[in-house]
Amino acid sequence: MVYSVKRIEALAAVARISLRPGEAERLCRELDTMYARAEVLQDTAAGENPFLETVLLSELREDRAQPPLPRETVLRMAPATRDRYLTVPRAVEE
Amino acid sequence: MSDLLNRTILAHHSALEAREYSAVELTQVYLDQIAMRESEVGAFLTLDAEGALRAAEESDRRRLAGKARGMLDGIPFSLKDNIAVKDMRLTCASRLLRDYVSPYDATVALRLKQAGAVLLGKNNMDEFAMGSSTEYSALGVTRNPWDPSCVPGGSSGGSAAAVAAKESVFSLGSDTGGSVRQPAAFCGVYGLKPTYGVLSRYGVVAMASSLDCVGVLTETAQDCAAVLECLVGKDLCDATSVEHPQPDFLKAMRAPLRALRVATVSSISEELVDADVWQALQSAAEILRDAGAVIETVELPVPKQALAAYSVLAAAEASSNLARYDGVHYGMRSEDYTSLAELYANTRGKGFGDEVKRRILFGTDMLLGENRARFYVRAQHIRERIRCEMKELLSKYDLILTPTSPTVAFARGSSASQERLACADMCTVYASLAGVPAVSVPFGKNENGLPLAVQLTGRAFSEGLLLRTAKLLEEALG
Repeated sequence: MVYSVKRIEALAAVARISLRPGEAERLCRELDTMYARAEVLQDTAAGENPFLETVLLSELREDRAQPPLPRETVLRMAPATRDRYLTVPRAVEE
Repeated sequence: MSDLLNRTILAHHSALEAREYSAVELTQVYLDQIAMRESEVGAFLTLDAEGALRAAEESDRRRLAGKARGMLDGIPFSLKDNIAVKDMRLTCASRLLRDYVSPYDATVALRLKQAGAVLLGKNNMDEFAMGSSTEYSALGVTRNPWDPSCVPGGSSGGSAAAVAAKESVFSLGSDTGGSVRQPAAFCGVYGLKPTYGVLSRYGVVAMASSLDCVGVLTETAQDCAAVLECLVGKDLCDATSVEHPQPDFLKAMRAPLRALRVATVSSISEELVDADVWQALQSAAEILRDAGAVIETVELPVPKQALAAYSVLAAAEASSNLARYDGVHYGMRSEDYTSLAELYANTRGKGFGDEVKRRILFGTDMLLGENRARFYVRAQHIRERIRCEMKELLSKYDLILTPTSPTVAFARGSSASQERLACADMCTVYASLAGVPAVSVPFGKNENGLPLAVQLTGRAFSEGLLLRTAKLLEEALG
């Protein structure tokens, strides 16, 4: 067993995902299976360069200022707003 | 009018030009078909009948004014629900985006609108394109049109089912490791994954950006060429977008086919695939041989490692791409939180389904600490090795012929599903890792009436040759 409940909970914290009761135990088994499949990567010689030709060949477009999405459109998509802003819980303690 | 459902895009185009029927009549036929079959098939998450009829009316007006926009003007189609359409729901089949409405068009959607094609709606899929059966959709069940007890494949299962059930003339999906080709095979339609970068991904929800491609699902090889021709062209909004050097795919379909050098693959052996799939592969090889092709058996590089590299890279990239769903800017927000950290975690914990969570956690782990070098970087190196060896192989052969999937469509909810899902990408990941094009070609049905298929993989930008060869197989099968 590579994965323990503690490790799954640590990963979930990094990934910012809350888990239901019993979910970490199930994920231990499932991620162990995925890890075992990935272990075969250690069994073979690899190529020299991990970079992809397609990425190397792609050109970045010139930076151009464009009108942003209208504020009301952005706010319409948001789950919670007040006045002209998105709202979230207070992140800095008083 | 229901015989219209059996016509190709080219036939519809000719008939619309000759005023045999109108785009509105054609659209209505497809809407009627959807009404008749959808309760069984479940291919759509969003249907926009009103918008479709409005677009069809505009198409008819253009045609009457002598201003028709080409082959796709007035042709009804659908899109996988991870492709953005302005003012239409974009759910990715996830609870997290159930009510999200896109404020802009994906480039591929815009190009189809500009070509006058008529959007019927959005198709079901595995949540965030993670899966091979469409069973991981949080928003609906899609069944295989040939046998409702079976899956349609995935992740573009709704798109494949819609085309197979004749609820849509064509559909676009996305293909990361086989997500267009495998459902196409399961549903008996054509599924093309083009060369990486040939179709813009601007406005397509990202899963694994170094692998994601938009793909085309149609009933014939020629239809696939017609749709592809409309969509290609560099898009400045997608940094990976490239200009296709030979974009005249319909012309390629008419070109004589020279004697081909075709490779079959020794590691995809008779023991690893269903007997009827194996038989289809042998028959396809025979047809190509009869057409003058030289067929030789070759080794593909490191088959087990290819699947492993794919699963590590796709999960790692997905874990990063899906970090944006945090319950702040758009989408669902959990009501259960007292802090910002809880808002993020509970939104994502409740919004994502089991498969998405599994892959995010695995991908996160593959990028952490020692695992980064042991798995993620290693997978990148192996991918590069595969890309180089595929390039070398495809310098000697025009095509690689394999099954698309080792199995035909399997039963929904079957206990064997997990193991089968793990192997489902066995034949398709090579083209994804190497960035080369591949097409799934329907190849008759087995004794249970389930579709069989073979896959043709070619060198970069060889979509014309792939589709021309697919047409040869199509004609030979009758």
